[in-house]
Amino acid sequence: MSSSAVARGEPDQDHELEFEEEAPRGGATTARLGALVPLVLGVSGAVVSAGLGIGSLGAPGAGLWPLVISLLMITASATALLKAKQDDDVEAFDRGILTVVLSVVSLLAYAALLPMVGFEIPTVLLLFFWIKILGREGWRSAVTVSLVATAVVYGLFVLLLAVPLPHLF
Amino acid sequence: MDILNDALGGFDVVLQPANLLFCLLGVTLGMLIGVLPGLGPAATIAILLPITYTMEPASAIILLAGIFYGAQYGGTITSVLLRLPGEASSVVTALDGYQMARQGRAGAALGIAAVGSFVGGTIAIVGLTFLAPLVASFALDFGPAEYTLLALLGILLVSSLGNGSARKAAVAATIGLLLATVGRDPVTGVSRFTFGSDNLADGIDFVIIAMGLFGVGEILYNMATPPSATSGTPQFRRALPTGADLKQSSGAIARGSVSGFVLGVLPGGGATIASLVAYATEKKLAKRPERFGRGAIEGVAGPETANNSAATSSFIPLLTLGIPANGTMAIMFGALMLQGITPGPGLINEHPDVFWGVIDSMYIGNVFLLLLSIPLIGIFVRLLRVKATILNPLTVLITMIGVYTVRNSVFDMFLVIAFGVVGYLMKKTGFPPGPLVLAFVLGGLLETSFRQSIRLSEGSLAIFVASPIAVTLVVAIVVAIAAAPVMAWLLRRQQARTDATLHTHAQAYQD
Repeated sequence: MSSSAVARGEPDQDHELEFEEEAPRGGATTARLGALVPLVLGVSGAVVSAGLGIGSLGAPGAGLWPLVISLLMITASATALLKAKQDDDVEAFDRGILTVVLSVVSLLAYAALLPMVGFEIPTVLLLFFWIKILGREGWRSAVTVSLVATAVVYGLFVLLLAVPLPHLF
Repeated sequence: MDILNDALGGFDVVLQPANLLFCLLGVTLGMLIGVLPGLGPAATIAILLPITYTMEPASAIILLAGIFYGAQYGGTITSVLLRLPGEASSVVTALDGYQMARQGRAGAALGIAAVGSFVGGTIAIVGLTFLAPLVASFALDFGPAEYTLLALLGILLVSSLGNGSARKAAVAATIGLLLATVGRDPVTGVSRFTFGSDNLADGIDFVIIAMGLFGVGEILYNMATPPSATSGTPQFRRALPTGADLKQSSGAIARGSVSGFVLGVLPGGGATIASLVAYATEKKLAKRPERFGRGAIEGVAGPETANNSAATSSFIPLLTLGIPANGTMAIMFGALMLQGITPGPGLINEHPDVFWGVIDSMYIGNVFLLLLSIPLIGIFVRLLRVKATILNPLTVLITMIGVYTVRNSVFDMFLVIAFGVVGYLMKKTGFPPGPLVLAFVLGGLLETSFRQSIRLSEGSLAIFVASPIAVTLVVAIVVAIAAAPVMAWLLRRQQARTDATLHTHAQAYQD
């Protein structure tokens, strides 16, 4: 496999690099779930649209257009659900999902903290978390990049562009 | 010659020092992100949208267009040197380009790709210069019924011709259409799908959706599945083809320019199809087709010329009809809307500076690309060593701060994270984000013109077949629906073949 060649660091084996890293394929269950979500969305869209008033073609209500779209969505996702078994473009959710969950949680925390304590501290923490913990980089690059990038953002957005970004200092 | 005068007037816009700088910045940035693994041009343009808010309309579009066509060439570099195509449209280039690199001819491969891209791009711009005003003047007669049909046709074509399954693209498109209805009803003013939130009363901002799906979504995906490590870059000094190389590829470049231009105008995956068709054509016309896959220079020149030509001509439907031909063009559409400019047949008369400025900036941009790429490829290649683990956090930071600056709203930050999660899940489950963004952009136009049409006809659907143009469009829609499975099958087969060839060669060299 290519990864072992890379790990051994043999310069002459570069041609062993795979054309594209194939992500592990997901099963039909993942494909079905992927089609089920828009199906539910379509059904709830249809219910809400019906409540908005449909009217007629001559005098359409606010709900007519969204209802038409919701019905199309139900048709399309129902077809996708029925043919889920033939899907070959679904990737499996492996351990990487944990990284994604942590990334999302840290972004949510960032957005929540920003208006309360300004952008500086959350920015340093976010970058450090992504580089050191999620990216498993060394201490030195994590600390340097986090601090320098925050300083650059401060200089660019606060001092130079005077964007009303909440800031502490 | 009015057109010629106007076209030359565009150079006044481009040659302003600020715009020249934005053009240079755009193509450099485009090449950069084309080389770097991870972010594609769509994501980069989406992330930069907030910055373009404050710029002059023409400058903003010149910058963003530069990123788009610059990335086409950047993707070639990794395709040739590492057999890691940066863009779908550079996949076939890897077939012969990588073999050339292994034979110590990386410089020739990249050089011919640069020359081909330049020629293809320039020929396409000339075509664009003359064809675009014609299409625009033709479209001036379009009424709401024609626009309804045109928007419908655009969404249909992008869904059926794009990469991936048409079923899933259709689902994605309907999600985009539904998201476009959030906010006030354009006619009655009734709030729809706002769930009582004031933040949603005016609808969802296009920037939020684009930055979330393309920007944050792609970053999250890269965090979980880091792009493969790059090591052992082949050594070479300069990307310069010899006279013999040029002579051998001249036919391929000429054919690629023309076929790329034609295929690029069609909505949906233009550049990708163009590169595949060009490769197949060159192989078929070659005296010794067995050379292909073993480092034939025509196999690099043809597809690279074609994909650049197609990337350029895909601006025609956007600038003249207001119908974006692919996901990236949909983001361009959004960028123009942010500037208060609605792309469409009126653009050429109402905003000639934008229309001709963008087109003419491509002449200059292509010269920049050629000048940049030949001496500087070595530097771009060195950038491959920048790690994704550093790049992802910085990109996400730029995205989050950028979103905040659009409306100084923390709510928008949460919304962009939410769309990022949606984008990640879509990528994992094979739902293409392009049709969603495109349908979202066209959704408003589609609904408004549909409702205008039926109000004009007092509820009768006959208005959609009332004019010759409308009938033609209806026929085109029917043909598109009927031909979609055939086209998808052809495209899939060609891609499977390309994949198979790449893998066979990989194995052959492992023995």
